[in-house]
Amino acid sequence: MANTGIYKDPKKSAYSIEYYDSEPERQFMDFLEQSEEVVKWTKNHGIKIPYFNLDGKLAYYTPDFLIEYKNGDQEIVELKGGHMINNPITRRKSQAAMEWCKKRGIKYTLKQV
Amino acid sequence: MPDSFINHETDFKNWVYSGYPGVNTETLEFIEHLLTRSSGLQLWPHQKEAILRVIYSYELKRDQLGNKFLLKIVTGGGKSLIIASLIAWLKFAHPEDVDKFLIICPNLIVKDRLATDFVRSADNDNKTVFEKWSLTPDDTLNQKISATVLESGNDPQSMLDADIVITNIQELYTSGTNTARNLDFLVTKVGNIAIFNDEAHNSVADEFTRVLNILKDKTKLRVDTTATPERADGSYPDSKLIYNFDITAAMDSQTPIIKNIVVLQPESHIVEITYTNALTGEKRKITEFSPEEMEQYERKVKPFQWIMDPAPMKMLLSIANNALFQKKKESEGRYKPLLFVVTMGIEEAKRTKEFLESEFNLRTLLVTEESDESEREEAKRIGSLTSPYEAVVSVFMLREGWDVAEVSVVLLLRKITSQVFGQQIIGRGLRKIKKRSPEPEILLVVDHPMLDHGWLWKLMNVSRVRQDILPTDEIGEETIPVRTQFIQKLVNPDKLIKVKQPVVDSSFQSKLEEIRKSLKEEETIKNWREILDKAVYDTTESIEITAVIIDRIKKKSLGKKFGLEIEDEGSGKVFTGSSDIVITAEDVTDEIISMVKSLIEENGYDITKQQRLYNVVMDHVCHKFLGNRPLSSANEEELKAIIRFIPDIKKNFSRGILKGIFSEEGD
Repeated sequence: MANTGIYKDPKKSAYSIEYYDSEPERQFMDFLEQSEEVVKWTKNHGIKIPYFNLDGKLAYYTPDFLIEYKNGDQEIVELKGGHMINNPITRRKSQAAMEWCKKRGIKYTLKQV
Repeated sequence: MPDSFINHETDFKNWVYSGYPGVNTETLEFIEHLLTRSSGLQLWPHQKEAILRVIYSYELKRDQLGNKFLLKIVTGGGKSLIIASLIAWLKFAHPEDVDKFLIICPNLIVKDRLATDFVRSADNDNKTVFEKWSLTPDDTLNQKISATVLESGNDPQSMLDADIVITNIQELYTSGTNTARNLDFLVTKVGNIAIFNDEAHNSVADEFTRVLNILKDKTKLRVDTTATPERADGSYPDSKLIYNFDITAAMDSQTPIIKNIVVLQPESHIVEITYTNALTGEKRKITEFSPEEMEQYERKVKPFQWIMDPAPMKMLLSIANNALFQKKKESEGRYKPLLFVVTMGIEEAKRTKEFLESEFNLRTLLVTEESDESEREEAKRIGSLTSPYEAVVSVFMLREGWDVAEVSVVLLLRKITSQVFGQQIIGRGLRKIKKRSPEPEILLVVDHPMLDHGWLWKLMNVSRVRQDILPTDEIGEETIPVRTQFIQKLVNPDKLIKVKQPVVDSSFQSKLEEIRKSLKEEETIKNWREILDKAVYDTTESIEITAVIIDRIKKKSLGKKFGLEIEDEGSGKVFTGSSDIVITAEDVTDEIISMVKSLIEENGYDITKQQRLYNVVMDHVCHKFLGNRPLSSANEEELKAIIRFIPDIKKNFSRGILKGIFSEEGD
């Protein structure tokens, strides 16, 4: 994949480095590091959200970012390119993720980049 | 799978730091004897860590963590010594808790290996792992701990006499008469047990769960040890993950315990395609001299042809052979480096063996599920200096348990789509040859870029993917890149995010149920016969890659100054070849059996379903390719066509179709 790389020494992540898979992801990491509201974030959260793929088969989806805010709120953010946002797989995944997050009182955001 | 230990990490560290407060006296004595001793054989740090985490969880946190734990330990990480140490601890510190120790493994190879550690025999100089390692502080106890192996068809009575029973999961299945008797014997004749699953959870999920459920009430402790907790279907066992010593952690440890991986990929293009029309008998070669036509036919080439057609296959084998040659040089005759090849089907496995022996003069062992006992014995002996073999070819068989440290080159002649299988296959070559040496070692993996295995190399944390390797290249000694900065390490535990726990939400449950219900119809395809009948295999035209060439004229110099590029115009060696091999009806049967087996395994069905599926596939093949004539009446061309279409046939047997087929059973 294009523009993958390593985000070194993030201050708000528990890990020594974070991997990004695209330029927008790297920029988003910069944003998270600078934002005053954000206290913790990571892409290495191990969350797997069960959903049914287009073959009707149970599959698991790992969203991009897990973020924690100053007031204790949590958010899961998925970054998607414009051409992907209305793709049926993306919709299945985000539907499942919304349900999963709602159950836990976590905010789910699908961001178009 | 979720890490259940996150909330206890800090408390655990303090517990270790302050000298293990709260444990019983014998446990303390055990820890001092085995884990903090200054003389005698030393366990690896991660083995000690794993043992301490189980002790901590069992003695102090049972109310929160339960009594079923999972240790994720990388292949080659010495799982059986961890199991032995935990048995030693329970025997020494909690003799009242457990009567019998049950070690369950997935297959015969693992069973044999465990037996070598635990059962006193000439193989271990009459010393069990307990004596050799002085696992408990009490030497008489070390000598007394005994083990037996539950063999197929044996009297279960033998289980009564030994402390430890080693068995493969199939011996406990509820479906067979003998095996059900084994399980019943455990339930009625034996007191409390501790269960150790060594990779056994990869067996069929429902049988595995059934067996453990039956033993549930008398199970005081269960420890699952595995490198890959997730099953092929994405589910994982119900035990709590308390330690994760994965590939990254293993590479990052002071004494590296597994090899580094370097992937070699060729970059080549097609220079000749052979076109055959079965109806008109037309046969011609399309070459790069007619670029437009070439482009048109290139689009028809399927990804697997890049590895299966004879010309590209020869090229990959040639690279693998060069890599092996380098490994032989490095070994200086002290050990025997091995090439391990994984193929899609039996037919390619046979062809690979033939090529390796005729073109490269490498004595090759073919291991399939049909291999007899003596061949499997050979597979175990392989890698020793006295074994005549230099290469092993396998379809699906050698996945877990068979790990020979001397495997120095792995060649993938199949596309891998499952994380679990991918890690297991590469895992065969990850064990270091000189286990306790601080020197790093390298495993070379030869892979074709058309197979798109990038995700696997990321997952396996490979040191380097080297593209545009030429078959004419001499492969140099790889240097290990400085990589510490690239390893994702936990450095700020206080920044870990504790994911909020779900609130009980009945409306969510019902919504999920709704989704599930609405998907039911899609899941099981009831009219599978109709769907299969509609399948089209166009056998009139066939194309085959008959020549490939490497198209890079520049290559990075290997083993010299980094980054220096040299012109290399003359090395574009052309690889040619066509399938002139005679295929018999028996070959086709073998190929279909092997396809059926992988369908059964990839979809998590029990082996008992194999016959039924084989019959359906065979009917389908005879219907589609032979106009309902039996396979025995097929001519050479028809047999070749079937072999060529095996991957397409397999694709048509989707999960929904399989569900449909098996939903009819017992009707």
